[in-house]
Amino acid sequence: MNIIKKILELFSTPDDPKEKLEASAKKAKERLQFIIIDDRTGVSPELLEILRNEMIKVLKKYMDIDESRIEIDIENSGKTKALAVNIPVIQVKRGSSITGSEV
Amino acid sequence: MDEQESVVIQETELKEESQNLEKEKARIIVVTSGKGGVGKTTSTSNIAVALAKLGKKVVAVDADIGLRNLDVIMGLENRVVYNFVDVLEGNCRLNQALVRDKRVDTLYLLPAAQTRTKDAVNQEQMIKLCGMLRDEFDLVLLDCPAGIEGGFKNAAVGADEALIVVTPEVPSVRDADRIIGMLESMGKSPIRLIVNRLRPDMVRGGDMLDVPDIIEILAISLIGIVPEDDNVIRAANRGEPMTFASKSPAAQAYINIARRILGEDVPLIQFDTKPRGLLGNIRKILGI
Ligand SMILES: Nc1ncnc2c1ncn2[C@@H]1O[C@H](COP(=O)(O)OP(=O)(O)O)[C@@H](O)[C@H]1O
Ligand SMILES: [Mg+2]
Repeated sequence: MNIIKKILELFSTPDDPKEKLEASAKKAKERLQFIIIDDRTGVSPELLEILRNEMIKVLKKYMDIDESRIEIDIENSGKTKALAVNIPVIQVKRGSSITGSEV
Repeated sequence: MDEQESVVIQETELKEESQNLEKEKARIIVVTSGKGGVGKTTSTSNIAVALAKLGKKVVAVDADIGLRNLDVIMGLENRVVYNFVDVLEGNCRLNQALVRDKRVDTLYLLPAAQTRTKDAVNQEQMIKLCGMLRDEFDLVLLDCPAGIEGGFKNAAVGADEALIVVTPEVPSVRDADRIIGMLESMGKSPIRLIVNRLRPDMVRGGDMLDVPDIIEILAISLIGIVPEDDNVIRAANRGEPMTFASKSPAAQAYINIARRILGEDVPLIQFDTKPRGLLGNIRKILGI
């Protein structure tokens, strides 16, 4: 069996040995691509906290928001990431829908 | 103004004038990596020797404070008296700390302090040191700590350009990516990659990341490929960087890198990394 496999291997000119199941370089590349995307978009809890506070500051100029129920998180979906923010609005401030200049 | 002072001023004026005439702008290049132990010191020493042999006035600076070993790799450890922390602390002049390499004109080493920690110098001091070296040399190579180690930013702060050393392994490439981001935000340009310890046989077998893969992942330009080579260890044993004499594959690769640093268009050495066809497979199995 083994010898037959060897012989078959001889004739199957591997145009791309990276296609071979046991070829680990292909695996290495795939893993690296994921790891590096993760590293590059790495958002620390500290950064999330800063973002949260900055967003509250800006939004408060224009609307009343429920600060206690703000949700902010990084969501992974495959190779991409999304910043998911959920901010319950209590009331839009008067006038801000036109220019916002009164605030 | 007393007499002595005026003499000194005259001297520096003269020096400046002659520099304007003959000296091109100095370049300070940091040699670093994400992960440790991937070949920074090997690369620094061999490139420094090759650049000096190409006629440039070069200093190799051991900026890896506390992990001093560039002097040993270059075989100059017996001639080290002062180090660059001594220069910065005013214990000696720059000339006293520089070790001239007698094997090739225009090559110097500036040693690191062995008994100090990496916070022995701050960024301002490092910038000052680089300024002093800029006046004296054509090329300054900084053998820097790995990026994940402390002291990397301080050591690299004075550099204009960067060479990143990476081995074809997952952790090394990953850490390189992080350090490239840091170097970019520090404004270094160009940032170029040295792929070290490549084993063409393993690439051919599909078991080692190939150079195009690494370039694709890191998205930076390549300045050279250095193959795995036993002569690296022989050279380290002797304290004689390969580029002094050896025609070994790694020596040739480093000479080519030095020439590319100087702007020459040197084609990449083609390693046999392509899969073998039927004949190649038969040869491989028969061991010929
Ligand atoms: N191209 C190469 N071939 C074989 N061995 C190498 C090669 N490059 C580096 N090495 C070995 O790897 C080790 C680490 O190299 P070194 O230059 O000291 O790395 P670093 O300065 O990044 O810590 C040394 O033992 C060296 O001999
Ligand atoms: Mg080193």
